[in-house]
Amino acid sequence: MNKLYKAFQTITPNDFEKTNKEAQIRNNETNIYVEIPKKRKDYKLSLIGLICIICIGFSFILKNNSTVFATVGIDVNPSVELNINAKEEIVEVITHNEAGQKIVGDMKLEGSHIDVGMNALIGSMLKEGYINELKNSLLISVTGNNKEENEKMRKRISQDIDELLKGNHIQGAIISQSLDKSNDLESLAQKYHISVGKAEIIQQLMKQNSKYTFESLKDLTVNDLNILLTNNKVVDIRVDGEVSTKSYIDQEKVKQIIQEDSQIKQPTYQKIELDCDDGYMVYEVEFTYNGNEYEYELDAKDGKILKKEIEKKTLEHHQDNHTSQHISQSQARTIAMNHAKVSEVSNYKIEKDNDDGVWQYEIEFVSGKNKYEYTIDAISGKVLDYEIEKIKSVKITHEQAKQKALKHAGLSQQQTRDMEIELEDYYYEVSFETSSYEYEYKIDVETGKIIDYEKEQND
Amino acid sequence: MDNKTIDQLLLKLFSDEKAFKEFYEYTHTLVFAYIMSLLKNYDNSRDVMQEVYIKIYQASQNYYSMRKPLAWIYTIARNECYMQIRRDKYTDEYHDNISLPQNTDQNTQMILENLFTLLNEKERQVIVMHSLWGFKHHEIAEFLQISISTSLSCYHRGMKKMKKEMEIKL
Repeated sequence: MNKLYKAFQTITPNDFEKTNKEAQIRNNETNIYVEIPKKRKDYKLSLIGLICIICIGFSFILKNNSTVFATVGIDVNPSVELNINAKEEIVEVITHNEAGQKIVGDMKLEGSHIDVGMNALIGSMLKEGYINELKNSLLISVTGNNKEENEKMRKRISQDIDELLKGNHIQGAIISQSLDKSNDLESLAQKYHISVGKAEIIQQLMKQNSKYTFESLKDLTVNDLNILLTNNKVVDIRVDGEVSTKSYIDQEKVKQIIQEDSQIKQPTYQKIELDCDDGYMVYEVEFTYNGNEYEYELDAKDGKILKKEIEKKTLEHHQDNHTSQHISQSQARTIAMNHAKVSEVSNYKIEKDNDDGVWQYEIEFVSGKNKYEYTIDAISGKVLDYEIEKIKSVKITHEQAKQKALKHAGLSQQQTRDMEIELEDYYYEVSFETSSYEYEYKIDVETGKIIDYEKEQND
Repeated sequence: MDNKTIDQLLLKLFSDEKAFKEFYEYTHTLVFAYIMSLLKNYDNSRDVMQEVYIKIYQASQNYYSMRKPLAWIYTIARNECYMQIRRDKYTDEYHDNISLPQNTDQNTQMILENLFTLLNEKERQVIVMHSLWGFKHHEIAEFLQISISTSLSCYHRGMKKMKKEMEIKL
C-alpha cells in the first residue's frame, strides 16, 4: 500500500530542528530504558518453567529411567525425535513424517544409548538414500532444560555424525542447535507436524526475511532450508560444512535461460539467488537493461520461467482512452492462453483496470496444477507481465466453496450480502455478511474442507 | 524500512547530530502515521511526535544493537500515545476532526479520510503496522495482544473496505 505511505509522507511535518533543540535542552533529564513487549503468557511460562525445574530436581533424585531429560531431534527429510533420560538412554522415539517412520522401521531403539541410536538412524538414512552428495544437510537439535548439557551433547553428536558421513565419503553440512525448552515453539511444531528443531529454523528464517511464512517453509527439506539459511545470511545458527545445491540447476544454466528469453546479451545481474516461493524452490533473478527493470522467477529444478516482470523506466501514457481502441475481453483471453500454451482453463476471471493511465486486463485462470496471472495491455494486446504459481489441484469450484460456507453458517444466500469469493494459493476465501454478523471462511481447494472460519459481530 | 540502517543510526544517534537527523527523516513518516492512527488528530499527533523523538534521543544512550529496532521505536511511540490519550480523557478534550493541514491535496485527503472514517481502530492500527512498519502478523498479534488470525482478518477486512471505497470514487 504505497499510496498510504505517500499520503502520510505528504502530511508528516518535519520538525527536526525544533525537536533536536528541545532534546538537547532536556538532555540528562531522565534515564530511559525501553522494554519491548514480550509474549503475553510470560507469567504462565515462568510458572511452567518453575514446575519443570522442580520435575528435573525430582528426576535427579529418583533417577527415574523413564523421565525425559532431553530431546534430540534429527531432521533430514525424515524427521525423528529421540527423548532420552538422564543416563542418555532413549526412552521414546517420535517420528514426524512418513519418511521418519520408514527410517525407524521396526528398529527397537528404546533402551539403547543415544549414540548407538543416532548411529543406527544415520546408517538407515544413508542406506535409504536420504543423505547423499546432492542432499547433504542434516539438522540436529538438542532440547532440554540444562543448557550446558545440551551444548555438550550437541557438539558430541554433530562430531560423531560428521565422522560417520566422512566414512561414507560424504561431506555433510550439519546444522546443529541446542534449544531451550519453549512452549511456543513446541505448540508451533505440533500444529504443523514438524520437529521443534525445524520450527526454530523456520522462525529464524522468518525473522530474517519477512516474505516467508510458516506454511510456505514447513514442507521444505532440511537441505532447502539450509540453502535459505546461507542465502539469507542467518548467522545465529551453526552450520558446519557447505550445503549442496547440486539437485538444482546452476547459475550458468539460469543465465542461459534468461538470455534466451529476454534476447539481451550478457545483462549485468543484480541478483541470482535460490529462494523459496510458496513452498517451492525457485531462482530469483533481477537485472536492469536500458533503464528497464527485469524480474524473473525460475523453477529451480527444471528452469521453467514462472514469473516475468518488466518495469519500464518511463510509463507510456496513453492519452487517448477511447474504449473502441481496446481489444476485447475474448481477445485478451486468447492472448493469455496462447502465451501459457494451454487450451483448457478453469476458474477464469478477467478484470479491466486502469493503472497509472494505462488500461489493462488482469486475467487469472487455473490450468492443470498451475495458476496463471496475466496483465495485458488493453490497447496493444502486449503481455505486460505474468506469473505462474503451482497450486494444489483445484477440485472445488467457486460455487461449491460458496455453498460449503453457507451450509456451515446455516444460511441461504438471500440472507447474506457482500458475498466475495477469492482463490488463494491453496484455499478459497469466502466472505459475506448478514445484518448482524461478518463471516470469513477458508476452504481447501482440493478437499473442500473448511480450514478456518471466523464469525464476528457486525459493528 | 531497513532494520539494519535504523539499528546503525540508533547506535550513534546520541552523540552524532547528523545521525539523529538522518534517523528522524528516515523514520518520522512511520512514527507519525502510527501516532495519528491512534490519536486521529493532526495537531496532537505533531506534538506527540516531538515527544517521541525526544524520548528516543534520551533512550538511545541505553540502546544496544538489536535485530528489530522498529519494535523498540514502536514501544516508545505507543507509550507516548497512551499518555496523550490519558491526558485527553483527563481534560475531557475530544477531537472529532482529524483536521489535516489546509494545503493538503485532494487525493491525500481522500485516502486519509477513508482510513479514519471507514476503519475501526484495530483495523487501522493493523494496516499501519503491517503495510507501513512492515511488522509481521505474529508480531502485531503480540503487540496488540490479539490472535494472529484476528490480525490477519483485520488487515484484509480493512484493506477491502479501503479498496472498495476508492474504486467507487475513482
